[in-house]
Amino acid sequence: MSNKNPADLNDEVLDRWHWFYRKGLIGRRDMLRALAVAGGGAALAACAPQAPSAPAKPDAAPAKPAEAAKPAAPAQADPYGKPSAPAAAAKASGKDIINVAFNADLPTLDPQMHNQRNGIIWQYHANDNLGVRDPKTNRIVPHLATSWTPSSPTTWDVELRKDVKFHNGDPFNAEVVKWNWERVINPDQKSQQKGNHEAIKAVEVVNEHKVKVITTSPYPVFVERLQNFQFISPKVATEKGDNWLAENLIGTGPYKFVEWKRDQYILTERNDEYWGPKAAFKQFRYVVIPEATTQIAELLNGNIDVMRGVPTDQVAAINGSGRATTSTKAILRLGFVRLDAKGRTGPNPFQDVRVRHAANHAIDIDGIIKSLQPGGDRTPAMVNPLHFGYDPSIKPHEYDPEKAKKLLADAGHPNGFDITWNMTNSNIMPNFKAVFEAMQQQLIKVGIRVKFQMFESRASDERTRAGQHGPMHETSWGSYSVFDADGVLWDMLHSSSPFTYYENKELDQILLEARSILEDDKRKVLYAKAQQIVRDEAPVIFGWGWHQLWGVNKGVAWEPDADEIDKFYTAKPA
Amino acid sequence: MLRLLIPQTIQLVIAVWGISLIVFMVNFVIGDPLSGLVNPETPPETREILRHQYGFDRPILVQYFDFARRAVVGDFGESYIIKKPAIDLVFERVPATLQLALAGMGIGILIAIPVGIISAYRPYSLIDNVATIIAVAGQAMPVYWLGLMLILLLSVQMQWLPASGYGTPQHIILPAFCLGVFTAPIAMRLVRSGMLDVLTQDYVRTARAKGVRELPVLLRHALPNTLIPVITLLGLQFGQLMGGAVITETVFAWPGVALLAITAIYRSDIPVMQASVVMLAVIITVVNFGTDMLVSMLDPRVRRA
Repeated sequence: MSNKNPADLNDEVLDRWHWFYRKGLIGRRDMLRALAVAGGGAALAACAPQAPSAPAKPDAAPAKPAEAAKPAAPAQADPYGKPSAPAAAAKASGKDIINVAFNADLPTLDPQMHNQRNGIIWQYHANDNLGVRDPKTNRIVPHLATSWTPSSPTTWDVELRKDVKFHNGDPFNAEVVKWNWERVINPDQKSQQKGNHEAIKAVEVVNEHKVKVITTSPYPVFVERLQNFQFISPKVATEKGDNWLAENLIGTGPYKFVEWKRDQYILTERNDEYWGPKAAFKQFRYVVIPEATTQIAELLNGNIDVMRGVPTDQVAAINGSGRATTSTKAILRLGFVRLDAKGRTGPNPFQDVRVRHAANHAIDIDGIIKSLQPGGDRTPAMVNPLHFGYDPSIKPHEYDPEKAKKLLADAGHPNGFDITWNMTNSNIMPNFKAVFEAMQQQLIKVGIRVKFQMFESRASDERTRAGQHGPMHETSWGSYSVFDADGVLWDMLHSSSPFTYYENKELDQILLEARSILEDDKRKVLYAKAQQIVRDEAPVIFGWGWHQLWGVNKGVAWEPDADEIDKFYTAKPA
Repeated sequence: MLRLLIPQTIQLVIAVWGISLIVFMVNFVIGDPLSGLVNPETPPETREILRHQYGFDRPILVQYFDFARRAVVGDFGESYIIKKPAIDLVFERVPATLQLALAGMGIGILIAIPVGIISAYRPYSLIDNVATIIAVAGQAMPVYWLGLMLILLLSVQMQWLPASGYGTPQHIILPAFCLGVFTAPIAMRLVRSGMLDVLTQDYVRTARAKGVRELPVLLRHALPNTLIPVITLLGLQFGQLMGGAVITETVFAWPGVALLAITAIYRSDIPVMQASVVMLAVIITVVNFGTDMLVSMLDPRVRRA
């Protein structure tokens, strides 16, 4: 360090500048800039250990002082006249991009190595499926396939389109289908979707555009599975390997993959050689925004065109903004409160069917849907009206606290009883806490004194499957997007399922029979029978089929579908 | 110097080790470590095989030493979800987080120092009182709430700035300002009280007596002597900024380490969660260590103590 006090040296410089100013030789701004340099020097001197030996040079750093000169307004320094960058550019050029907000990034771009909703949605844009759901009838109609017919109870003949190519020009044919199915069911591949195709034993190539799928047993939901199974080119896969496939995609879909910035966005561009109807927007951008509130802000300022899962309490704000509107749609997912009718967790009052009915009569489901939900459809026997096999003649439990009290008294609980409800601390149901608290109050009113015990979702899931999750817990079920009563009744109520806290041999038999035959009429009769049993036995407190909310910018014309697979290639500028 | 360096280094090592221990235990406290890895439908037999393959059936101490041995060289294993080494995923995110924390701190300093000086120069004046009120308000505002208010005002109402994203200078303004407002108040109060104290000292009176102008007195004589505690504070604040980033990064969809950690927690992606928490902890402890060193260089009294 030098012997001379560097500050003194600096004072002289400052004084000189100040003198110039007083003499009117320089303007106020120049003097301030000079002072700011000295000030910046002082801060530097304090921050950097070697600075005192190299005292501030007033003319050395012309860039810094500009900042220092107006320290109170750093936030306004940049944005003059330049609004938000990428999305604003799109706005200016007449809307050739559609930006959609998602709450999380994708784990992988490999269509067969995930089991996430967001992933299915994205894959629908870069890829195609053999069948897709008709949004009007909710049945599966041919897409990459032209037809499928059961040639025997365990064989499906699938005919393929002949005009389909991958984005790199590779042909789509029977070999591709066979290779992809074999990849998914190969245990070494460890695909999360293996369970969806468990019944498939083998796939044979008949000719270039026809495959024969052989199942281990008659398999009526085969067709339902076709709507979530996408293809990769075997040639690309063998050349590039699985690690490349996780980060890149060459599909056949209406959009081509362009760029993925992890936790920021995934950009795709319209496939102008697409075999089907081409998308209206030139680009589709999957934008990651974890916070719903931030998504709403971006929706209202136009950086986002569509957001999924609008919080119920924000509906009025969005519709009143004049910039976006909400759109509601009934979805397949349904919620309910599972009761331990089988005694898997030990003896409990719900083993008595009268107590289960009492619990169902105690809760005003219609009132809760009306006041706390964006909408909902009652599921009197667990089956959603959207499921194939739903029986509309079955009457839901009516809200009748007196009847509930009487049933409890008949079952030997004239003074009610105390019970624990194992609640998961997170839930995708809108307003879930308010909903469950309302249910709790109504149950307490008839004498079922419910206390909540909270669990983290991972723990809930494990405990549920292990049969340890208490005498009651709430849950919801998306039926793996299979619009068939089997998708809910088998997994939720067949005694072989780990999720079942109920056992009924007759019901087991009916469900097994219904999944082993292919005739729709017969299956309908069987499911009607099953639903009557479920209604009479009330193994759960029946909830409702959910309604989901989307927020859509006024500049975009787009409608969601019931299968929750948002298809933005159908969107158009409004 | 060495006398200070050695205990400080030991402290640093102990802190990082303690965090690694907690991070390791988290895997076992939440539940079955296997459940993040497999489908809900996986049958028990397959689970047992996997449990053995991943070594979850070994005694917990053996598992910890294995974890620690690998963690020391930055090997936290492969992400369960994105099949890449967890530490690589974290390193990809470090620049974004540091960028945000430094910008936030820069804005905080730019607010705190001038306002602190003015407040001290004219104590109990209108400016001082207003600054005090704003400082208290700034300190009381949760970052989350402030972020949302800024989004509402500047993004939704005025449409000046994007509410989320990364890449252009516009994107950093809102989140950095949010963190700056969080940093500024304490630093400002510290500058103010330090200045008030220093301005009554003899050497300041001497400087004034020999005819040095007021501004040079404030900036060259008084300010440097008040900055030492401010630097210590900023060093500590830096850790809080990284913590505050957990919220800021989520609100503004800023692709940093904290957002990665949050996503990993939601997905039960244990290796990534462990790697990102350890990374944040290492950054914080290293910055604190650096601050201590810096202060000891600037202030001989600390060195001797």
